[in-house]
Amino acid sequence: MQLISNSVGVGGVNNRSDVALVQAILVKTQRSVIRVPLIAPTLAPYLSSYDGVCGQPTKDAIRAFQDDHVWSTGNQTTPGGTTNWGFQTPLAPVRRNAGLVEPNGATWLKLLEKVPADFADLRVLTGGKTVYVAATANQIQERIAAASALTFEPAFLRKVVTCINAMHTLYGIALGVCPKGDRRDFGKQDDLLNQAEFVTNAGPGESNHNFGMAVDLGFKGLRWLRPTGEVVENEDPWMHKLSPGNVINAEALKFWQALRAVGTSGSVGLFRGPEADRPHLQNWSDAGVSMGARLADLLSRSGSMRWSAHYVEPHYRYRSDLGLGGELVELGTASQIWNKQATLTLDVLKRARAAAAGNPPAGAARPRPVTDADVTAMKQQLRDQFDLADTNWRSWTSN
Amino acid sequence: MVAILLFLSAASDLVSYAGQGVTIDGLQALLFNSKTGAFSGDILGKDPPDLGNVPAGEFASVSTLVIVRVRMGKDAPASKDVRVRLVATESGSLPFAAKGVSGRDRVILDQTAVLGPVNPEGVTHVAFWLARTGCRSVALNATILGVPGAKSIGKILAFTCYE
Repeated sequence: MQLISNSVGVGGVNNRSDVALVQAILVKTQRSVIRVPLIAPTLAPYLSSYDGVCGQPTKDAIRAFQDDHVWSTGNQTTPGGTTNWGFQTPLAPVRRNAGLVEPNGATWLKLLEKVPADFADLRVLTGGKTVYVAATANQIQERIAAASALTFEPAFLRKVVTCINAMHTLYGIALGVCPKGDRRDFGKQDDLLNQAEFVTNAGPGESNHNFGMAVDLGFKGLRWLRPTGEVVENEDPWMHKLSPGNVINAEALKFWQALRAVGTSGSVGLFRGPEADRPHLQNWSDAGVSMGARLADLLSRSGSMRWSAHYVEPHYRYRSDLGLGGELVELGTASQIWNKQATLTLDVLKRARAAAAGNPPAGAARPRPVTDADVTAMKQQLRDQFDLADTNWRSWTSN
Repeated sequence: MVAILLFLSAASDLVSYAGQGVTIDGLQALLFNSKTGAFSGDILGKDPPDLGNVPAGEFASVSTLVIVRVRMGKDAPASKDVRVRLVATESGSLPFAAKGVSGRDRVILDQTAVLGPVNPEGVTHVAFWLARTGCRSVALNATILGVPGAKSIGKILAFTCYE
């Protein structure tokens, strides 16, 4: 169990996350209650719900718990250092710290003792109020095994595993890789660009996901407690149960912030992506890296053409020598080239081929005229160059 | 005279539906794979898949078939007066979009359909087509029209996209 950072209850500091943790323990811990005289007592929780606010019901619940388990048992050392020998009578004096839980105090220790075993390791993020059950070591191993079966660059995978382990060590959370959160081939990237509105501007070969050095991590299976103490057993990677709809609420945001803080910490060594893209971590800083230039470099090294890129909001545009060794010609965006829709025209191809042919010697056979079919064939060849780069993704470099 | 008989017949149907408790028995949703023409399993069923970046990949989908299962009395007669309405509302923003897109909720479908033939168990199904799905959460709400007091049923298609 995570330790509370400050006191909770009557006269306590009552930090929200501390209060939530103590409340959650009281929600999950039951006591015998005599509802009807002469009828067997029934079990009921000390507190019916938790919310991170230390109101009167919480203070009363702490007192009730103390009455049952702290004051009434022998040889208890109170937080103030005095000894309670367990003699509780109707005339017993008012206990010191009644209604108060202090870090590692007698009441806190008794709470840990009495909470059901299934909830013996409850956690809450600092400043948050959502209490969750810590993941087990087996769950972490399952997540690491699942991540290891996906497609990543090996050194990057090691950082991902370090991140998963660090998140468990610090917060007891078992991160997992989101669906399609590993290496994404050029075709999938093009799908995402053209079919998923407002998600990305990156075309085929322009996302760090295309090179096995980016990951999307999430919180699938996080077992958090609803205010009533009910455990959510089927949370999805994006915490849609905790934060329904398409806007991240404050509680879910704390989890995403924790993920980003751990992932970008020095011990893990990853970098964040765009501000809003919270599941995303990558192997390098975006600052100073031109994804277009790096794709052009990979294309040039993977195939038989020379390439360059320049940025025209909102996309990179590419030029190539078409494998003819001459000047580079405009071809459009990565998505256009990928879809065999490069902006190459008949005139441009004619000029490029004429330049490549130079001045043929007198009497040499005249070259075959360039036709629209040649343009179509060249567009296919350009796509083939992208396919080669896609296959050769492990050779991509960030500089 | 014929008109009066038809009216009485329709009214009689209504009464019988009300008496038999026409209910929406459940919702199913199937992703349509645009690359293969195949449908997925029920994404609202038991152990549903996580709907991340659904428009990309081998099973790329940007359309969803929603099936409303309606339970009526056994051998209940068909009637044009009983219909099913499905309202599908897309939530505004994309939480993980690279641009941090914001926007309002948007109704992407508000359609009413008549019921088809009923099987021997008194069940019939009505299908609705949702286009341009896959990234934003969609709230489904199905209602029986023409039956006083019929309860509606709601489900969420928790689509999410991220760069």
